[in-house]
Amino acid sequence: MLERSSARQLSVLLPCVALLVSLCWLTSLERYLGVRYHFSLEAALPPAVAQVVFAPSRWLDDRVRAGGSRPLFRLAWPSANEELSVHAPVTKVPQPPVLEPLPEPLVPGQFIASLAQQKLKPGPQRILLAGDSMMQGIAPLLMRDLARLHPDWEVHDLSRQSTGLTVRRYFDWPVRIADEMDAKSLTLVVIFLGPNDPWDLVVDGKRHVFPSPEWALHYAQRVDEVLAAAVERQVRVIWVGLPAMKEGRIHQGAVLQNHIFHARAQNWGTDYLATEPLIGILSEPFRKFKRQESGQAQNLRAEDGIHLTPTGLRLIQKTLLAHIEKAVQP
Amino acid sequence: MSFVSPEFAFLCLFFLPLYWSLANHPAAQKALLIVSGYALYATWVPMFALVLAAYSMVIWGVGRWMRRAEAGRMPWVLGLWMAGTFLLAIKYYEFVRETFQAVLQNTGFVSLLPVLDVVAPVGVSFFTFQAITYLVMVGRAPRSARSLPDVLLFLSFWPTLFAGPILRAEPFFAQIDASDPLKRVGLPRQAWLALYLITLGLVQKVVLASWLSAQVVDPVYKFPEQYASVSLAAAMLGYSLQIFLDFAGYTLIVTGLGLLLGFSLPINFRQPYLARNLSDFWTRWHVSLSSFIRDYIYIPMGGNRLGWGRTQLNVLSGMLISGLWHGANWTFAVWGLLHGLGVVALNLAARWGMPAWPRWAAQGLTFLFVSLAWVFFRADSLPHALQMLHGLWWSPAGFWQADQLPWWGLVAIGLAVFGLSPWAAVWERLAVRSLSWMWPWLAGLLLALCLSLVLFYGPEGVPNFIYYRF
Repeated sequence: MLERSSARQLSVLLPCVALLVSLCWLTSLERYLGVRYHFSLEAALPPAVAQVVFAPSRWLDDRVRAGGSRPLFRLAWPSANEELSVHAPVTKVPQPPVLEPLPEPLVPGQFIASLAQQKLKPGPQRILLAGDSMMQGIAPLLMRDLARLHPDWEVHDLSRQSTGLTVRRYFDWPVRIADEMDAKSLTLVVIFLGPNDPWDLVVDGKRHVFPSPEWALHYAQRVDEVLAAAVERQVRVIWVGLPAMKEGRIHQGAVLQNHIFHARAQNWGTDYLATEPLIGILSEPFRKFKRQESGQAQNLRAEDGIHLTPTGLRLIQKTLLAHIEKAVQP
Repeated sequence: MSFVSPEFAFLCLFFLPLYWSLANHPAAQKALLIVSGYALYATWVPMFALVLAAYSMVIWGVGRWMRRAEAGRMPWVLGLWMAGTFLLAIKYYEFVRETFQAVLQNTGFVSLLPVLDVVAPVGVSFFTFQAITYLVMVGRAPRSARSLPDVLLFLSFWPTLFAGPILRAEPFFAQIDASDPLKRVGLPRQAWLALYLITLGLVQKVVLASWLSAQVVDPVYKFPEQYASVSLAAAMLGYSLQIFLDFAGYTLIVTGLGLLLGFSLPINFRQPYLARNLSDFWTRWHVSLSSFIRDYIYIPMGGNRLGWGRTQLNVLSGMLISGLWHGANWTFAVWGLLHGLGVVALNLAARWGMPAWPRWAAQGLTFLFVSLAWVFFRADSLPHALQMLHGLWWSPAGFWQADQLPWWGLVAIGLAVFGLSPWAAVWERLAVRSLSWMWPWLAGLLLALCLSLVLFYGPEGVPNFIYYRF
């Protein structure tokens, strides 16, 4: 093929191929755009156009690709008249989150402290480790130690990178965790997630800008879906708080998310484990290195300023393990 | 931005026609290529683009100085020292500091090495080596020093910027300078071959390597104590296949992209798992790196000209550097040393007159050695690698558990790689000839179908390339 003609041919051929593939995979692309850019092509297009454009991909979803969206888990609030199980760790009726101003920044050096409100029932535990890439780092280390210390316990790792509570269409944590609780008769769920979440949140077609009181309210409701499902099933939850973050938006998100995680855990009588004192406090400037008692600097953070080095992971894993061991003791 | 992301594909639809339309305006086309390289690089971390620009200007400045100084060695030595120091400081300092600190921990002494909080730019190992080939070229022929745009383009040429193949200055600039219209860069070269390579690369990387990673390799390497000995061996085989399909797939994609821009990229893989010994393996695996180490490190150290013993020392040094080039971790050092010791052992056997092995046995033994060495390359730490290897002998999960891994998939991919490798060139010719004989719309439809299958069988999200972190 002569170069000149092939350039012309390719200039037509490649867009045609791209258009064809995009039309066939538009629902997939929509999910990708949602996760990555928190943008919905379907919502941006006029409804009639969206219906036509998405039709081939939907048809392929139904006929060729396994799928169709799953019904979302809906939160059922226990009312004051409902009798709570005698084993339920909560002694008061949890209150739903309310719309309130965003929390004031903490004084430098202050952080939201851990909550230890639950005991695990004695005997073998069935534990689920859930979360995003933060949990992906911790899970293997924790599983290895738990398997060594308690060979009769079951530990399942469901951590998945690029997931969170903001975008449900890509990976719906509240639904998945509830499914896992039922399927595996779990006794404990450990959750560590967050850096993928500081983006606008779309609920029933309405966009709630990050950060805003509305965003915080809806995010808290999603946290509540997990906690309510756990409390209903008498499954204990340890929600692991986020450490200091380097990048502005993720840092801002972590501050707000920790407030929400802590408040909702307190409300439902579940645990909140702070990682800030171990890794870095959000109200202080970000530091990759932490000085040990011996005076030597330890590198705790990966180069992206979000994830952790093996040393940082081990610090959290040890604290989490101690927290679980303490919860098992009578 | 990854080469297998939808964003990249979308941008290419606009970029490539614009680039081709400037074929009669080489200066504008070159400027567009430089700007696109920096823009793509900045999508990772914007600061990296500034670092690369500053680095390129220093290399260009040293080249100009060498040209002016003509035969003087001072600028040449200084340039090489700067390029090497930049890589060492940015990539290996923290490793040295932590190792030093760990060594001193139990002695009562305190390490005085300060903390250096820097992030290594993506592809730093690749563009540093490219810069060295440029400096060596100018050192040998000072008049060959290039203009600033040429040096900026050479060090930011986006198809190879993130994970190679490592370009060499002479052949790259020879392509830019070519006066023959058929060899000139700027218009697609062998367009059907380019599309075939990109599609094949996507199948290898997005479908096969990702499947092996998710289904076979990662679960086992994550929790080796939960897997039986045979499953551990299968994971090692799986990783051998995964890293080949991942990196060779990546190389096919960038070679195809290079051809669409009108550039021929160096060959990086020649069916490495068909190698009959380790030396042969290194003429087939990551050829642009191994040939760089041969030409720029091993030969300058004396190569095989200083006696048998010194040759073996040079081999070991070259392999150790090759290992450490991949990252600041003892696992890479051990991986490199193992290959070095393997080559030395073979040289020793040859010296003692060991007869040649039958082809199948030599290929099998080489693959076995390479696969065992990959354990160190893949493991997070030396204890992790030793745990994997120990598990082959004795595992808490027993010797064999049939339901631990999807065996059929692993066997099918293994058979496909080993069965098709000897015929890769024939397949390539056949596919390209068929595509060029087809009506373009039919070829386009076939391409769309292949891409759809890649998406159907690929994982969710954008998979990472193993070599992006080097």
